[in-house]
Amino acid sequence: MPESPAIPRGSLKVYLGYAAGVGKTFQMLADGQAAAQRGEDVVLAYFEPHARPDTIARARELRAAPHKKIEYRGKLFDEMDTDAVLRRNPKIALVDELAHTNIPGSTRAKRWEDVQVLLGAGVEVWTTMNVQHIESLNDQIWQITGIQVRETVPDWVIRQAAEIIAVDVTPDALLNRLKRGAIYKPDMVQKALAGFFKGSNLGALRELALRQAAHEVDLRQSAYDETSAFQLPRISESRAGEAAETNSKEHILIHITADPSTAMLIRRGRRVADYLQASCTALFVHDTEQLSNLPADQRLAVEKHLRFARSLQIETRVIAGKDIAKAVVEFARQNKVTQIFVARPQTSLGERLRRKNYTENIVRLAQDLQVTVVADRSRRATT
Amino acid sequence: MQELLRNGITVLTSLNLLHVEEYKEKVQAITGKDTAETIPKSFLLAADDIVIVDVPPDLCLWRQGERLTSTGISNYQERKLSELRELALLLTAEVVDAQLESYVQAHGIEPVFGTHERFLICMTPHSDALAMIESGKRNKERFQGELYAVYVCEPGQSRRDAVKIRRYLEAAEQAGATTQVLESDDPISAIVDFAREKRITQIFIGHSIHNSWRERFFGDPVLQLIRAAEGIDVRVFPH
Repeated sequence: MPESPAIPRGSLKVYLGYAAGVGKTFQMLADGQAAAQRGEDVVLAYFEPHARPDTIARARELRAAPHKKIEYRGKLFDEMDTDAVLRRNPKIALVDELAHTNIPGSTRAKRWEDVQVLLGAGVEVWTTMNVQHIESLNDQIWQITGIQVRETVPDWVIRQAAEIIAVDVTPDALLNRLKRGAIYKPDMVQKALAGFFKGSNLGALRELALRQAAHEVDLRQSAYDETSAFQLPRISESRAGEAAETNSKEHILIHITADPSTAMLIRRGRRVADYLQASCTALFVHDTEQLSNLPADQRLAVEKHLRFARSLQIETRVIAGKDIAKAVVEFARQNKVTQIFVARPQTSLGERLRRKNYTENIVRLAQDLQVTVVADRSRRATT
Repeated sequence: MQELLRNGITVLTSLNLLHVEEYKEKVQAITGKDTAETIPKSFLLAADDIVIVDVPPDLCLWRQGERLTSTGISNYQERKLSELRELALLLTAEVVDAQLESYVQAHGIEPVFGTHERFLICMTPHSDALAMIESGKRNKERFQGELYAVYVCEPGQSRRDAVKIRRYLEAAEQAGATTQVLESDDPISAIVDFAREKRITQIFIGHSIHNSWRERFFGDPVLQLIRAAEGIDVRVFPH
């Protein structure tokens, strides 16, 4: 990322919600306006033009940067004009929808990447997102709601934020907003009622968002405590035994294969490592250290998984080994791994015969280590 | 207010964490503020709805007339407020979880898995139960989750084992676990049924070290549990 060392990075603030319509954008704009009234230089860098009327009214009261019009398949699309924002160089830029995927033909694929550029240039960014867009929660969201969320933001982007604010509203109030047409156009309402707005989904997402916000607040307290001379009286249990644990730092090892369940394994490993403040490594074992002699489909899958792990800031390693389970366990011992994350063993006999059962062998061999067999969350989606 | 509710009037009200009886001491330890006016937490759990008003500490202090600092926690005062903020967020999550549970029950739908981590420790006389309890406690705290510990009582248990298990059950309770003794001659099913009922997301189990011919023939119980516990993570602990 091009970054001038002379400019301090801008700070990031995230308004976290649990569904469309909870009021993230509205609150961000209200706070932006309050900041502008205090004399701060605030610019609305991007804002969905087809937003709700009361939100549009709010937005009009702020100075806005021009959008970029991008043509794709004969249609014009609005995107954030990152260069225009950089030229304008405000103190604070408001950027709606952090998880948004830019239209093909844009300079960067994801809006969160554009936000990195703004932060790198020293601009403070305020942005909005829903809990279901957090990468490491992707499988849990699928397990709970049966919905596969495609637009995700890596956890490390959220971790960068100096501040996370929970935007809360009751599900009943949200459903009212939806039904009176304040969130989506009529043709979208039925779709929403069959999706995230269905049954227990809103309550479950809301609980996840609140817990995520509490966790984010907790992480920022730990970071402050590490650098501060003052210590709070011991009120929170979570920090009471901390001092005793410092010598028992956890290290999680994720075993990568070509199997599609590996993506789930990587996300779960990342999430657990974050909560336990553990380091995290992903390992692929093969006959040689090169992937070139793998069948093409397997090589592509493994490369994809290694790339995915790196995108979540997990260190990746490829090592040579004839006996895969043995190589994984030996690597774990040599690298002071405390927990190995493996996928569930294949269930059908055919599958088990075709693919040697690494998981069971790892469990059998690693009697001196903890082995976590990660559930296939995609198989238990409640409807 | 109970009077208003009894008369069919909907009441909207506001409340600070300090005034929840169960949180009074914690808030007092942080802020030094005391109050005689409290309501029990059960009152909140019975509310039809709850909404958290989440404001970062710096803005909260600014509204009280302090100078605005940079975003995030930048001084001791903000650090203290942040602690209260975390407690308030978690309390709200707990109320939302209780609402979710009653919704699921009222509509007779499948329980919702995975909104919140729930750990289950499976204890046997031959496992390193204390290490599992220690780790369970830590995970419970870090994930702000729930901890359960079970022992499956099989026929033919020796006196020595019974003493050990009693000790483990006590240690688990001290670590904040809800404990239960299950009676079954099929331990794997008993554990998996219990886990499903309690919406467990992760099962802790000890490695079975004895590699008898019987196990080699019928399969290692640990591997059997892994196969049976579909949808749940299984963490195998060393001896």
